[in-house]
Amino acid sequence: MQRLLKQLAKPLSQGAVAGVLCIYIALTGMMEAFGEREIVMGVLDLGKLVLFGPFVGLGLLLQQQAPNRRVGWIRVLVACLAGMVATGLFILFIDAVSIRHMFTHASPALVAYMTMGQDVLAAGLGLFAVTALGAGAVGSGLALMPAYLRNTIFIAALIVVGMALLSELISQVLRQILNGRPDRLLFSQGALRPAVAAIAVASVFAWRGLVPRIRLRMQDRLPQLEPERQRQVSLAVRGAGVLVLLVLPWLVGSYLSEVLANVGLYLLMALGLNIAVGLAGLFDLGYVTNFAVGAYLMGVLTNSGPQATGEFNFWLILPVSILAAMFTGLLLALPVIRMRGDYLAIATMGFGEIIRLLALSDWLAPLIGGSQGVLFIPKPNIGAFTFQTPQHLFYIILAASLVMLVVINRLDLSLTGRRWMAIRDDETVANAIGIDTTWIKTLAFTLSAASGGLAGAIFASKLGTIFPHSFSLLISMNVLCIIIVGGMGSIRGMVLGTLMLIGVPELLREFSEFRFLLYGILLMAVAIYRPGGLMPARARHYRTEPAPQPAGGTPAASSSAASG
Amino acid sequence: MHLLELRDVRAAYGNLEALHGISLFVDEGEIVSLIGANGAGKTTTLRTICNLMSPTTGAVLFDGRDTRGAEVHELVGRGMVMVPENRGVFARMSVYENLLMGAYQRNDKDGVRADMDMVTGLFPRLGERMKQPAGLLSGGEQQMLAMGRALMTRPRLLLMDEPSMGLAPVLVDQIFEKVADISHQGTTILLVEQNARRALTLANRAYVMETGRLTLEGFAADLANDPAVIEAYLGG
Ligand SMILES: Nc1ncnc2c1ncn2[C@@H]1O[C@H](COP(=O)(O)OP(=O)(O)O)[C@@H](O)[C@H]1O
Ligand SMILES: [Mg+2]
Repeated sequence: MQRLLKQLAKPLSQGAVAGVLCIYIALTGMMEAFGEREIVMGVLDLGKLVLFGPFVGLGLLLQQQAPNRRVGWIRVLVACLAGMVATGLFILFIDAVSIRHMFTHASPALVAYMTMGQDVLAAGLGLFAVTALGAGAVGSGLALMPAYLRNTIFIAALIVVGMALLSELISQVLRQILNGRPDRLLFSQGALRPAVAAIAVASVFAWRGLVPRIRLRMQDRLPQLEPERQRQVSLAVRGAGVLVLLVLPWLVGSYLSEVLANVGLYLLMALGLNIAVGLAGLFDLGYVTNFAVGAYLMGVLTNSGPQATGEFNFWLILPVSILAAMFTGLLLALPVIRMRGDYLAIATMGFGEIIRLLALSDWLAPLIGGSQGVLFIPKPNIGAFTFQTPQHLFYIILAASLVMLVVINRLDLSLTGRRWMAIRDDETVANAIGIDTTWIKTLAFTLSAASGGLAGAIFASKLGTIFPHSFSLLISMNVLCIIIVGGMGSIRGMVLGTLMLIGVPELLREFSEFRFLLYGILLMAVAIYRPGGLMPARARHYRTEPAPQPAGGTPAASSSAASG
Repeated sequence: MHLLELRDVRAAYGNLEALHGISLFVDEGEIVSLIGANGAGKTTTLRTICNLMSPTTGAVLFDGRDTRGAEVHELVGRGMVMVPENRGVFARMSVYENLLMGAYQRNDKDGVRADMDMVTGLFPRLGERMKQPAGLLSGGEQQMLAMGRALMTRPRLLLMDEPSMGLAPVLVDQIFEKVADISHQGTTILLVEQNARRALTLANRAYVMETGRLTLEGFAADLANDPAVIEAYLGG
């Protein structure tokens, strides 16, 4: 008996955790909000996904960890029962007792949703139980099938859900390319039409069925490409990528160009902060400082409003903003650079707040407007052409991002990049073998600030007005999250992280109130399952001495040892 | 004038004094060994010498100049470098990149290349593994890399903290041979060791350290025959 209990303790507790997760999601209001968002018309909505997703997960995990199938099924059954009991009791409870004064979302509507609209509570609970068990069984089934098939199913599911969530983007692009409303063939109010979902799933299966064969063919050919050819191919791919980016704003329309522009600004900041955090290992929580300095300099020196000071041209002030941000970075680095870890994080966070308070202060108000902000900041222009629309501004941000990408890629591979890496690996040792760690770290701070200043300057000009409250701690946090989720020190990770944390939430505006909840979940998931980030920094190209041995020198001991 | 001299140096971690007045010297061309049990304060002594910690009282003189107030890397520039305890190689960098880190303060490309050849001549194993990540090297190879990296700074004085720690006896032999080679090339060495027998065989002079104090000093050969030393450090 005791042995049995011991055996079942883990599935019981895991099931209960899944149940509590369901309750949590329900009480935060996510379930109902998600319930209104259909994925596949009339078949599946997002709320059902979060309601029964945990049960699928339980089935998958417990079956995978079980020593054999029989034990696995028993554990899954036990866990699902535990989860059901927890959730079921919760449903009964909020049906009987109103706790709406504490949890506004614990409403009859929630009960109706969780019991799937059945009139009789018992019938609803029964349906819920059956579906939950079914979900557990599906999870177990997934665990038992070959990995390739399982992954194919995951990919298909991901594509269906992704298509539905990004329906707005897809519709927009389709409408730009084709006449009329081609998107209506695919979507109805954002939900995939069942036939379309079926076709998508079938395509994934067909593709995954063909891939192994194609890859086999490719493998015969790929290595035969000489390095020169490979370089050409990779250049062509990059060129095509840039080309796509160039037409992108016109494909996706004004609103999504605006989103892309914001993504670009955050990417600039992420690339910059990555120098300090990812490359040199300096935890800077005050990155917004640089953004604010860039923005205010651009704002004050170009605006034609009450704060007009010179009304200079955008292109003249752009480098000035960058230099000013670097100078601020340098100044701020001086007092804190000897601090380590947590202390550094707290001190820099303080700077971020100081800059916001300075911007708000009456003292600087005559110069930078205080809480009134800076108004009438002109858009960038070249001669008579003004970068008026989000589509136009996108190109400036794209150009800035590409330049920064190249610069940072160079930096990463440079000697300075390696010194940052040495400091991040072991600061004391780096110092002990003669590296001037203070200077190298100051350099990281200063260079890191440049990109923030650049982003701020463009931001000011793009918006036309700036206010102190735009420069809150939240910006520093967002940028840091991008770096952690994307993968510290990884440039591809920055791009992915920005798209996921800044781009996708803009597309899912309907759920904006859960944005930070999702951030939290994502951060935790990354910390637990992918500590290096979604796209960790790639293994470095180990470099060796570039120059050949000088002719006529004594043969190195190594070469004689190798040949002899 | 001594190359390195410590005058009644005290050092503390917070309120806890770890060195209670150390006086020692190292002359140009010598191998001087500092031996003592675990926790005696040997590492602390080295850290104080290269200014990773500052002495609370007393003075450290390198080449006749007080090191007070100098940055760690400045002292490296003046010709003093430490091979840290547990080697401390940069695991994700290649052997070549690790060596390059040692040449931080030098702008003479040819000189750096020549020293790179000198190091690979001294440690052929490193020459064969230039492209490999340092983290994949064996313990002995990592020790050689840490030594090579320190030599890339062209030191006059090499401070070594327990180079034999955690190595198989045959590797310990190799490492001590290399220390002798480095000494023959004209570098002065202060060698911290727990392996007293080997250290006393190699060194010219030695100091014995116990709980933050020097208890014995003299020629290494004499100390190796000292009954107290034999009893405490050479296994009776
Ligand atoms: N970072 C530290 N903080 C506090 N005490 C330390 C620290 N490092 C060493 N100590 C203490 O200082 C004394 C000397 O240590 P150490 O110099 O490392 O000895 P050794 O190198 O001879 O083994 C020991 O008592 C040790 O506990
Ligand atoms: Mg020690």
